[in-house]
Amino acid sequence: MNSFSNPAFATKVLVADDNAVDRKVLSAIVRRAGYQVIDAVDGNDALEKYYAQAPDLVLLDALMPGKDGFAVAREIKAGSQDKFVPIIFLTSLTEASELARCVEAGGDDFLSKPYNRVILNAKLSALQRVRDMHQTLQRQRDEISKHHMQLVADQEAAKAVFDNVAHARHLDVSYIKHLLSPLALFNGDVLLAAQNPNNNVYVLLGDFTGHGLAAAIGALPLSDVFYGMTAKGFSLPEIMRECNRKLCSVLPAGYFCCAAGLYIDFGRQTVEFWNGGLPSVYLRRKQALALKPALLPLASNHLPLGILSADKFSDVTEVVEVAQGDRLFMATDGVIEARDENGSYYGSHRLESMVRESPIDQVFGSVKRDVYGFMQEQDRDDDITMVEIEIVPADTIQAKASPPVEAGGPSDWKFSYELGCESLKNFNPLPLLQQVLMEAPYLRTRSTEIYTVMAELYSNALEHGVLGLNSSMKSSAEGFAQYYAARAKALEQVDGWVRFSFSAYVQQTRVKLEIRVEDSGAGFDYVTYLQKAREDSAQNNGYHGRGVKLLWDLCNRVDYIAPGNAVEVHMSWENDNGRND
Amino acid sequence: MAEMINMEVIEELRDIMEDDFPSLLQSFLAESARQYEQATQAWQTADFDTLRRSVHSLKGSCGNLGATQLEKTCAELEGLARYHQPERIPELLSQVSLQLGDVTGVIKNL
Repeated sequence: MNSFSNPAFATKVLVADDNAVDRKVLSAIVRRAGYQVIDAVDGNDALEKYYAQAPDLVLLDALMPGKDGFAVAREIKAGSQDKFVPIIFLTSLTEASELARCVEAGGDDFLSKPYNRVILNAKLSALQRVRDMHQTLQRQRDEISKHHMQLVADQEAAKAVFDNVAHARHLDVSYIKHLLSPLALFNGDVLLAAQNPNNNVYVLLGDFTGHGLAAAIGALPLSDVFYGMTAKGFSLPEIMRECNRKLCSVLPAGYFCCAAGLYIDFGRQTVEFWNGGLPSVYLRRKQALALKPALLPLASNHLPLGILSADKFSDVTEVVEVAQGDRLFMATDGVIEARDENGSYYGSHRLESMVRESPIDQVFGSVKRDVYGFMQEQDRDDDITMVEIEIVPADTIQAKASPPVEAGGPSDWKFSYELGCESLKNFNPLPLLQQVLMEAPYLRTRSTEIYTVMAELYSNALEHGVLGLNSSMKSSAEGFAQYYAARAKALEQVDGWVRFSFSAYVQQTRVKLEIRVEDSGAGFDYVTYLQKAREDSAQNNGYHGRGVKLLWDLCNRVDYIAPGNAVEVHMSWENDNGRND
Repeated sequence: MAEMINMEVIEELRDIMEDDFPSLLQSFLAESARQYEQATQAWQTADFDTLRRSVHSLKGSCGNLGATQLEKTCAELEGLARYHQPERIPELLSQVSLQLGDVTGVIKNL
């Protein structure tokens, strides 16, 4: 460090002494040791040169005319908050009280006269080491503080992105109540909700292992998959399967996500669910009936997401019937594992009885109050997230605003698409077909209706036409479960096909869409069925059956074609949104 | 009896000061004369403080030049000035004068 060869980088030492002989000797010794020397002949000269040349070390005679060494030292120390400039007092003072004055004034060391080269050199290099260390410390402190500020800014930006992606979108509706309480800046819990093109609602509650950033990071791909697939109308099993595949590929070993997915069909009043590792989802019925208890736990029957490879993953879902006014309640294990002051857990029993006993319209508020009351001021061990979904009439679900219609796309076209028996077993064609149809801009304003009609026609063709299931089974709660069991069994051995044919064009200002769905089944007595449906419709009776009433509502024409294994519908409307060009 | 001038110190200074060695000696001659002058004047006006500072300063120079005996005399004088003990001050002042003369003689011949 002390180099003769490069004086620009040499350490600068201020030598202040009014005694010319002493100053000359000292300067010579210091210069000889490789430092750059600045001479000062008294206190005022010392301060002037100190400010002008910013020395790294100061050697200061205690007794000088004008400003003495003590005054100079005090002024230097007061002005250098961050920079450490060691001061060595030059003194032949031997009285302890005088030495104490030096220390009090900010002196870091003493050097007694007459000067001794060896001692002086040792002191200089020792103080320089301290000074270097101090500077390193200072620099590191500044860097840490800079990095910390950067980190906080980054985290805030990331949290904004995270919240936009992982939360918010569809939670702000009257029939969903939710609570997300983050343990850290980020939250290991993720709550997602979205509508499909059919205006039915998907909810996914996930709890990633761990907390904070590591836990939150997996929520981004999960949300991405969830929102992308729900918007396109994929089914719950397909969505859960893809979420699992995605998390397997992005999460490090040992990280996973306990999750429950719900698909709530407000029109049919059914809830389809998949639960992997999350505490039971509770269905609290407004009205308990035989075989329909007031509280039905939908327990976990799968491993969490992100553990099993695609070939071992099970996307099997269960379906339960619900009624208007029923509530679905979900929570992450933060609720069950909440602790009171004695360290006892809140527990699933207490949660279950709260959900069962609270008045139906106060389930969410009661649980929340009870959990917080239980915890008092205890530290929260886990993220507490809970959500309640009320089963409301289908028409209260607001359709999502249609995206603006863009120019371009096909204007008049036809296509047909046939699924063989292997595809019928495990492939859902609706998202794909919807996507093809939506390539035509003039169809987009009716995307919900089109998807509903297509879904209705396909489920009729598959379940009644190809699989030969009897829809009347679905009219009792017991039959409902049996129906889904029979459907799953029949699908395993399915042998047949379903063919879609589409034709769309714009005639003057009217949009025309024709959909024909034909199946390999033997057909059915549609004449009698239609007769009965018209009577039911007039009397405003039940919903079950082949849903022709729904088709009548949404289509201009519905034609069954003998022997009943094909249905052709016509949809038509004014090309209201027109084109933007 | 301490020696008049420690020649080892002088040789070391010659080494350290290099070209500045003669100017150091000149400084000593000028400064020591001035300091002695100041000290005797302070004594005449009973200004113990200035007396003390003058001999303190002279003491430092002597130490650095290896004028060990003069340094000791100055130290003793400084002590008397500090505690305002005038009895032996004239005696010590004349010792300083004599010894300074000797030191000056030696230095001029270096």
